Amino acid sequence: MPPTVSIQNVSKLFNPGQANQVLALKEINLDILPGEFVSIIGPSGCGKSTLLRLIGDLTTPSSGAVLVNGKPAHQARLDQDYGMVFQAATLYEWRTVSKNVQLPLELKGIAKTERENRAKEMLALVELAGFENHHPWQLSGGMQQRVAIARALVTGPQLLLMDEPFGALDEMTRERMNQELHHIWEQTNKTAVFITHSIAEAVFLSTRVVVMSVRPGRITQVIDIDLPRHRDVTTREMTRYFELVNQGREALRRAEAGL
Amino acid sequence: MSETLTLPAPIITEKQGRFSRWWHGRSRFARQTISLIVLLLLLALAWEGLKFIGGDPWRPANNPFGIEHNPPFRFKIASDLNLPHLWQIFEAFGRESRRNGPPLIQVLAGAAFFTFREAFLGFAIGGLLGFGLGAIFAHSRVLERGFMPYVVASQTVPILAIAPMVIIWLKAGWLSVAIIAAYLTFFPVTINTLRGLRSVEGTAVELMHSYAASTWMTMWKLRFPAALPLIFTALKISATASVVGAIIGELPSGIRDGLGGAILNFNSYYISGPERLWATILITAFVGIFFYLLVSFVEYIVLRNRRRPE
Amino acid sequence: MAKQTTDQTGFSDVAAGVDAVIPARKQSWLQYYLPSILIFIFAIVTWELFVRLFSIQEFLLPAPSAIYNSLSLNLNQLLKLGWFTTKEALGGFAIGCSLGILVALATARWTIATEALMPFAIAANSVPILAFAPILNNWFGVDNPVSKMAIVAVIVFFPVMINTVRGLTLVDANALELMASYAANQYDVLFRLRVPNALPYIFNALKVAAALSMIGAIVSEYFGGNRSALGVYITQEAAQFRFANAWAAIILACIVGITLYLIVLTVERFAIPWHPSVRGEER
Repeated sequence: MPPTVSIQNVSKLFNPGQANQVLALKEINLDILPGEFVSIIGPSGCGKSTLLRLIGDLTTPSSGAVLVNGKPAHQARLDQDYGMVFQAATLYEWRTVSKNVQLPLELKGIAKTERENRAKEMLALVELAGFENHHPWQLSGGMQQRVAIARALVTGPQLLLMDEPFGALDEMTRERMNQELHHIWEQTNKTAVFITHSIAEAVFLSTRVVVMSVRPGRITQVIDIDLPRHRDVTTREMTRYFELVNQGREALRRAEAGL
Repeated sequence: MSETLTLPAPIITEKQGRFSRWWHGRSRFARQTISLIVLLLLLALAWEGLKFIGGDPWRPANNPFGIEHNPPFRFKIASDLNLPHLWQIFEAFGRESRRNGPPLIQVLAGAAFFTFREAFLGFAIGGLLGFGLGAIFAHSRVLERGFMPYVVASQTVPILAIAPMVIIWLKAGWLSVAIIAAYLTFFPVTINTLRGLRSVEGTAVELMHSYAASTWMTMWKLRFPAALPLIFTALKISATASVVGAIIGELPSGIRDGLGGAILNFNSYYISGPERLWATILITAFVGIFFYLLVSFVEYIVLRNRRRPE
Repeated sequence: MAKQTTDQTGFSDVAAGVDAVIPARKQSWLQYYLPSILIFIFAIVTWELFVRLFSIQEFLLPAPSAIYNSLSLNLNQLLKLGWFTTKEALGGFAIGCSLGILVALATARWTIATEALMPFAIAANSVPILAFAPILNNWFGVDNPVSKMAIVAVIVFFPVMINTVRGLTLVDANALELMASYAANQYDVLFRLRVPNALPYIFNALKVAAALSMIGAIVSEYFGGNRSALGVYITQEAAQFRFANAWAAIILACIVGITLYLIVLTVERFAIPWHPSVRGEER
């Protein structure tokens, strides 16, 4: 099976040739297979967000190549092969919830009735049915982020890119959102790349956790999460879950020490 | 598939041409200075270009080759009366302002100083008054609700209409003109002082409470410093407004020593020397920009350790 | 995505502050304005008593009753004069604001152009535009309302342009990335993101411009204008110390200015109901 995302020997240099030149990523190699849920964790400034933006072609590598669905990331962006969720929900405050979800469809020029139906469908998937005509400011932070997820899914992309989507939420909401995200991933069988600070979150959601180190950003360890594919409340109580969390913590500590 | 693919640039970064790269390599100050000069040159070019196409016929002062330029069109606004040549305006600075009088530049410099003094005094009075009102309103919602509508309404009164009365009350002189200037300057300061003093976060106030700080201490240690950026924003508007106010104040008061007087004077002799009115306007613009930059400079000094708003 | 609007011209700040004068929709107007109504009545009564008790002459300070009498006596004439000047103000407002918005839209696509234009615009904004009134009178003719419209247009152009540029450029970086992730083209980014983002800024500038336009029209008439203009009337009456008449005209001008402001405010409430300032938050 060809990988959904293939990162080949990618380095990223910011401000090349200037005094503030920074090597953000160094020789990254990573293949992500269809249906995988890969989390990337690492200390702040390790370039994990940059890596995600490279996959999404929101920035370009200084050397190396990024392939999405076997084609250059740029083409994949033009083809709308992925949906993206940011840490801030980034909803347009002048649009209703439904209109926000419809935005990517509008940009593709899809007819109104179909847009509305699909937005409705997606909002039901993230359990926000009935909130179509609300405005973003009327929703809580968790609900806003669910709208953002619905918006990322509405074009039906195979790949979901998420940049610390639950970073700003409180612990309780976060766990509930993890549960829901897992549910969506399980139901839709998407491939997901997920940036996070939280080891527990990464282990709970992922099939693989990629640990990165800082300056220059590089992959120090890849942990296979050999938990059952289906996760629920009981997962967090499994011995293996704790072992994996500890393993992740240990890996992160070493990454921070620059080993 | 290990060979490096060359990827097209994403649309997020603008296409970087050689000029663009050079341009963004300059400091912000250099970029702004260069663009300001370029725009002024373009403006001058448009000015003389318009005269070249549609102005009055022109020949050099001493004309050994017998050159005469006869524009193909005659636009009314591009005639020598309505739009003098730029060099005529600059020459006018050196020529005498009236028969056997001092050179125009000397007269205008004196007028500019006179008007600036009025404007500065008005700015100071208006600034203090504005700050005082803002501070009072910040402390009392009732007073704010009682007076604020009139503070706002006061700014819809064309002050030119009030000026004659102020002059009758206070006698014609630069103090009365300063009062008129103050009328235009206090308003932005009031509004932004109020907003700034109120902008302080609840937890910051609670912190002061936890130290049992008095209202007065909370004001000077917390609210006032927090309000400063907004107050300076207002002071920059006020600086310009005070110059406008001083000029307007001079018009009906019969004061002829300032720029307002100069505008009236050279306006009435426009037919015989339009370039003198244009020269006066240039100086007026200069005074307005100078005062704005002066306040910006003070702002830079006072707020140099603050994070930039953007 | 609500952000503080500290800008170089500060017009949005001031306009936002002024908005606080108007109570949020749910508050009772009477209750809100009770203190100011009481102050108004108190001030008028004191003023009237002061003038009567000390027999102040009209050329020093006209009594409120004298102003009212002049207003009611000359109402027809005043309305005619007022309408003439209002047309000048409206014309200038329309020309200046549309040019300001158009120039901003045209340049906002190019970062370099915007960046180059801003110092010029800010410098021009601190030029006392009024000084150009005599020149424009000469260009278009003293009696011609176009000369006054031109002055008003120049006065309102810069704040509107500066604020529009800021609204178009101060866009949330994430929102731009989102558009990029959808491979949106320049026009989609402009009309679906930048323009809606700019609307609150534009409305703030329009409100200031509305109030400025009436003042600008009246002041520009000082340098000579049509005999049927309100500014010319005020100048004449004031020059002959008939201050009650002058004040009656001034009050009319204020009412027009405030009305224009309120019209823009009402349009704003319908146009951007989603914005925090309209929703009555962030007071």
